[in-house]
Amino acid sequence: MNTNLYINQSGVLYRFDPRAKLLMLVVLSIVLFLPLSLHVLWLCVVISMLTALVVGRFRSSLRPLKTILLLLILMVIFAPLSERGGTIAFVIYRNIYVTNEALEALSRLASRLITITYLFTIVMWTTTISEMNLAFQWYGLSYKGSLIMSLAFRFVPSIADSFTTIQQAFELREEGPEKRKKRMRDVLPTVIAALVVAIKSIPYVAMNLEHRGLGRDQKRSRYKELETKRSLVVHLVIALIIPACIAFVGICW
Amino acid sequence: MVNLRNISFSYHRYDGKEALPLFSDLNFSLGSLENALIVSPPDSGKSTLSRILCSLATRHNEGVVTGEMSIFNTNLLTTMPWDLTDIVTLVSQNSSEQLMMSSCGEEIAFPLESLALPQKEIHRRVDEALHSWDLLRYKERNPQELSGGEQKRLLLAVADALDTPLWVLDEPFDNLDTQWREKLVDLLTSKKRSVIVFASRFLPIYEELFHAYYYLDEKGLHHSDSKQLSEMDPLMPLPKVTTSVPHLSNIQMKTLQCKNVHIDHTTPSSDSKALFHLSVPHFELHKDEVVALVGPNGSGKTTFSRHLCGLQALQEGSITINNELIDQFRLKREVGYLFQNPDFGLFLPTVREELIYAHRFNKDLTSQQKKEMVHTCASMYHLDVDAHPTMMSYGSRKGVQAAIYHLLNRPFIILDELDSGVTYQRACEIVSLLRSRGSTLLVITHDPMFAQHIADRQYSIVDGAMIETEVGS
Repeated sequence: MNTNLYINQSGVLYRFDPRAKLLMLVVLSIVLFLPLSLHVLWLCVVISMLTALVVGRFRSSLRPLKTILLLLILMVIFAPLSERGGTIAFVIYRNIYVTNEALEALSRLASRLITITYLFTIVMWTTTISEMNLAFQWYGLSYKGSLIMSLAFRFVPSIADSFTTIQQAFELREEGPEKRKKRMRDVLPTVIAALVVAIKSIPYVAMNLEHRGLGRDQKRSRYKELETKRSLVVHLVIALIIPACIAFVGICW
Repeated sequence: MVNLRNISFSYHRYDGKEALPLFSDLNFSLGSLENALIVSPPDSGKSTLSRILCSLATRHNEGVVTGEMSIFNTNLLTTMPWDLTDIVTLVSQNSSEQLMMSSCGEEIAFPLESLALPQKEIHRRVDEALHSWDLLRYKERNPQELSGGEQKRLLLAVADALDTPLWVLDEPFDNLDTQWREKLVDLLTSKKRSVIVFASRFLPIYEELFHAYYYLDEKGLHHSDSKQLSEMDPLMPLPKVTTSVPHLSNIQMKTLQCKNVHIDHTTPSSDSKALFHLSVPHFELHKDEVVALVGPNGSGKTTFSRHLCGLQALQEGSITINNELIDQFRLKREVGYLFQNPDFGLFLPTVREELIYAHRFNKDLTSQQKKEMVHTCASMYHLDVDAHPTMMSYGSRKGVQAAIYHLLNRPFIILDELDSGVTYQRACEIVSLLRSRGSTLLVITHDPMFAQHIADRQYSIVDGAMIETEVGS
């Protein structure tokens, strides 16, 4: 359960205050749902992917896209069919057709999904769990609340980690000289096993948190604290200006 | 100081069968600044008893504990675990299940924050503990990326920083190399606190280290002494294997060679510097031999093994089998790997399913033949085919891992710290059984005596290079 996505490097994003990062993440996610022009939405996709490329290496930068690939495919298949009004772009079969408006809606949806996924990933890559905890607490969340949030953030990557470990263990136990084609039925036991491992870890986490004093009456002290510097104000302003600029350009374009 | 009177414990059973007590009428007492060793084979309740001592056993597992128990006159039956944080520290056998934070510094700081210590004091204790266990350079690193031995050291650093009057250490010497075993011995002899050590087997360093020696079984806790305990589980000659699993094809004996292998181990939470560099100029596994691999914690034994069995791609150098260059996929079919932590290798609901997994598509065998194969193998390894691996002890799960590889056709098998959490007798038995199957074994261990007993040759990692050395050195 101590998995995290943090990549230890240095750079502007690492120096950017975690409180400002969280604020920008939330405001940007809201701005992306304003009626922005398609060009600006795809520009956001390109910028977020380029940022990911700078922070992570090439293979890492494609990982967020891989995680939502199935969702994107389902969107491409089903989203155009649900939008029936407008000009017909092309006919698939008799009454089954795709309109220009449907394609635009799909493009909008896909760009928002990709950008938000990348934004969350970049924040996770550049912020340690403890910084995130402290930022949540700065916004008024209780210690237990922020701990639960951080455990939740770690839980999904830890399931992904277990999945890889289990897959490797199963690979080592295969027989025969030939590579077998991977089928859906082969993946299922691994997924179930990964979920069982994740669920099994819950009592251990609870046991250890309690053994290390979580639940005591006295107020906890803090090992680390976020610095309250003048730069925080600057960072918070930047965190608001960037989404505001995107909103302005996106609506006016 | 520690008083346990007539303690009985049984876990709830989900299969409707009657719950049998893990142990009953257990009596134990330990005075201030005294040390005690409790030896017991796997599945005898060591880990459960260690959790009982921290008021944790029945909090998140369904079980019934009866009797009277107290630590420093605090009744354990009515005290919550968080109220014992400044009284008792537990270091569990399976390190990875106890590590929760995203950096080593935070791991140590968490309980200190719970005790509301001033920030300055927390920083002092964190740095001191990390320095004391030579982990200061890993302060900002994710504990999950550390080796098994380093994780154990981190847990001991947590205990050191907390400085409670009672330590409960479950198999603390396992996974530690000689240098850190000596450090732990020094701590045990420093008489700063009381310590209860649980162990599966009696190591020579336990001699005259404790005030009291006990043996734990289902009947309870028995007073013993170091001589008696060492004689209970001696390193006997490797047992002769007379039975064999039917319907298994013979393993073709082969020779494996590694040449000019260089490994730079980096992790995401580390900066650009590699955690370690390992160079293997020449490494060989001949037909039908047992080779030991020894080296300090974090020197790359497990990482090397992962390359050898094809889980990781080689950056530099080559691996050949019978002089033929082998790719990553072929390595997975030729080299088996028993993970240091058995939890990384067992995921199916029952022992039967774990054993049959590799043969599920084998059309050359009938289901009856597969059944015979699984049952014979299970009985050779003393396993109940209907048992759930998740409910078995750490040591028993290692037996399941070995049985799985017995049923596979692997000319080479790596046993990563097979001897941790099991008795000498059991470890030797597993080595004999796998050897009788015809596999060449590479055994990673921190126990020179065990290495000397089972191995024909030995490789050691010294200053980042793997070299052949005298067995047991």
